[in-house]
Amino acid sequence: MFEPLLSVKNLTKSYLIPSRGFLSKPLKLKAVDGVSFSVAAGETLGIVGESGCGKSTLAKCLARLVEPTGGQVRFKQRDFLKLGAEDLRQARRDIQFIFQDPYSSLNPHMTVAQIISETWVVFPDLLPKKAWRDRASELVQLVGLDASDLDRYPHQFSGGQRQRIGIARALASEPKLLICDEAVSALDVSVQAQVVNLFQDIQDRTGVALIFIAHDLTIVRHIANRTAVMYLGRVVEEGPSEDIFSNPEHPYSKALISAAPILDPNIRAAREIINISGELPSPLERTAGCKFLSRCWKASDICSSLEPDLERFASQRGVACHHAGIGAYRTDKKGK
Amino acid sequence: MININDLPGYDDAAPLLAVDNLCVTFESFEGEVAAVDGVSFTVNPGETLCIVGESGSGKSASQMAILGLLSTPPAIISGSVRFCGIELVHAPQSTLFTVRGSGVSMIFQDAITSLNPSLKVGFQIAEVFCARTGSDRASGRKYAIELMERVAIPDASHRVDDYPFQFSGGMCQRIMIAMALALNPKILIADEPTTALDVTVQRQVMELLKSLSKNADLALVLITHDLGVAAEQADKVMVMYAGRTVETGLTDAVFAKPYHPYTQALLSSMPDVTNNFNRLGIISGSPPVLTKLPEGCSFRPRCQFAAPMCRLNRPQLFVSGPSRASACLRVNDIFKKKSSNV
Repeated sequence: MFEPLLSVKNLTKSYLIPSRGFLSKPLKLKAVDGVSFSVAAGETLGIVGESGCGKSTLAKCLARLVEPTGGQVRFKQRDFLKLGAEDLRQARRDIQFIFQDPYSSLNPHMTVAQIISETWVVFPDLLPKKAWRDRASELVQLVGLDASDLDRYPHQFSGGQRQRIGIARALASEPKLLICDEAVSALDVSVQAQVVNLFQDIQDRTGVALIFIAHDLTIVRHIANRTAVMYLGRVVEEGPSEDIFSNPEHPYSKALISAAPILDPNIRAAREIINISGELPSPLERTAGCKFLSRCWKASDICSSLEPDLERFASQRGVACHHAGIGAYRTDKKGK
Repeated sequence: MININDLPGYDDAAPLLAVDNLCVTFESFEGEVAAVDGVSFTVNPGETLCIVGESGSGKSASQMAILGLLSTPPAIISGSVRFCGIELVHAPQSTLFTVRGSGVSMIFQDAITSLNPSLKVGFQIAEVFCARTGSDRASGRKYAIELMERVAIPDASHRVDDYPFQFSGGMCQRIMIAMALALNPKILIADEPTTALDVTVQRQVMELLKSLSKNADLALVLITHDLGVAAEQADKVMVMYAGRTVETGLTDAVFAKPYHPYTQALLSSMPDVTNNFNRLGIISGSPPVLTKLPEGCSFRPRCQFAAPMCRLNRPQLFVSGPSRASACLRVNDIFKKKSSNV
């Protein structure tokens, strides 16, 4: 049976927060709460959401930089969460991370060549030592730097160039999946576009799958084939980016997308801004029912008693809302 | 308290804020660095001016210089900044004290760290008010509640006694705005006020600023790198690059048809939430290092239209259309000819 590169089922990460009172039970904070999705080879999945919605925790869980507390992650037809230490180390060469801050994510004491070659120190069977230099220079050229940059130190580069070094390092182990956690948000606008284009070029050339996490909706729409919108640890809507951005179903996605600033005055005049009141509630204050309830303008009785699941309907869309506007979906729901 | 009207040079008829040929230079080990190099603009009551540029383009430094927030030395400031006719550059401290807060006030990007974590927000909001008007704490507290209601903080009468950590980022930014409004300033300078905020909260703060400028006739100077925010908020826009103004004009006109290659490239490198191109336009290279500015036009090495003439001298801002100015020598060749063909 065909299996996607990465499939995630019901992934959960919860933290125990000591509560204030003496002898009272610690509180449970669900940073990631039953998230499911899959990524095929060569595909780009965008994950958007506001700060505190669990997107970074999710990303870390996928590489097991943070151990998930529940659920299943299958990567390359193996149960990723059950791998032992050595198997995990080996499996991680196929999952690489690109971090937000290009300043703190590179070791200032190492030259670019050393930073890139470190991967091959860790995985000696990847490349014989003689070939390191050549391969490193290929990689820096792939990300748009010059081979002469190999012997320079990170402080000699600008932010955009450092992010390129980070990308070259991530590509050194020939990964199947790149997780980019806010990889362009620290860059200047003019440099952001260069790096976004670079991701697309690399994907065209190497067929690597991308998980692109960002709070900037415009960039996600641009780069991702499919998008997942997260709110308080849950995916509230998921589907092809084009559909989600042009026709969001979930009230939160609607509000989020309508809040993004628009350049073109004509389009701006036509759009309807949905202002949602308040801000992200504390993830600790758990209530029964839908998590978006307190800010939702469509809320009704069912929302406060039953938490909606992400249910799939037409064209691979999934929406976690009792009021999603599709008739067939609603009748299905009542039948249950 | 001295009134603004009593300050020397006060003139009702003068423009609210007139900045003329403002230069900010820093002394560094690599020689003098011009962070702001000959910037001029005016702001009228109720108007929103957006200053757009990348990091290091001098947008913050110019605004800090206006309020005298840069210490001299290391900064060397020249040029003229007139608030209602009152000269602020090299003005005595007493003048600056009077103008700050009641004439011009400022809010910063990172609201949470701009607030004192160990003082209640109500006290912080009213502090300036009490100090300036000599009111007692009780009436200060009452005024703080009033201001918090004005910036739409729910349940203000209870939250006035909370500490900054009890507020979210968006609420802290509202508190900053409330503080800035305490003395009814005529101009509010907002340095990247929504950059640290989430999209939905950014929208709320933007709406708040908009309603303040409309209802209270407050002039806004908004510093941002986000062209989308600029397009939605501003009446006038000023694009800065490497310490200089490269283009000014009415927002819609500039964004619809930029007259400077940098503005044009910046716009094409922005993906828009409403449409989807396959490929982003890019500006090659990275913003220049101010100690090593290229000769001639500073955008020349990254400019796709660069010609030999661009190397000769640094272009000045000149009028390129109705209430518009551009600092590109080739503006007539590049932009106007193209439009006549279309």
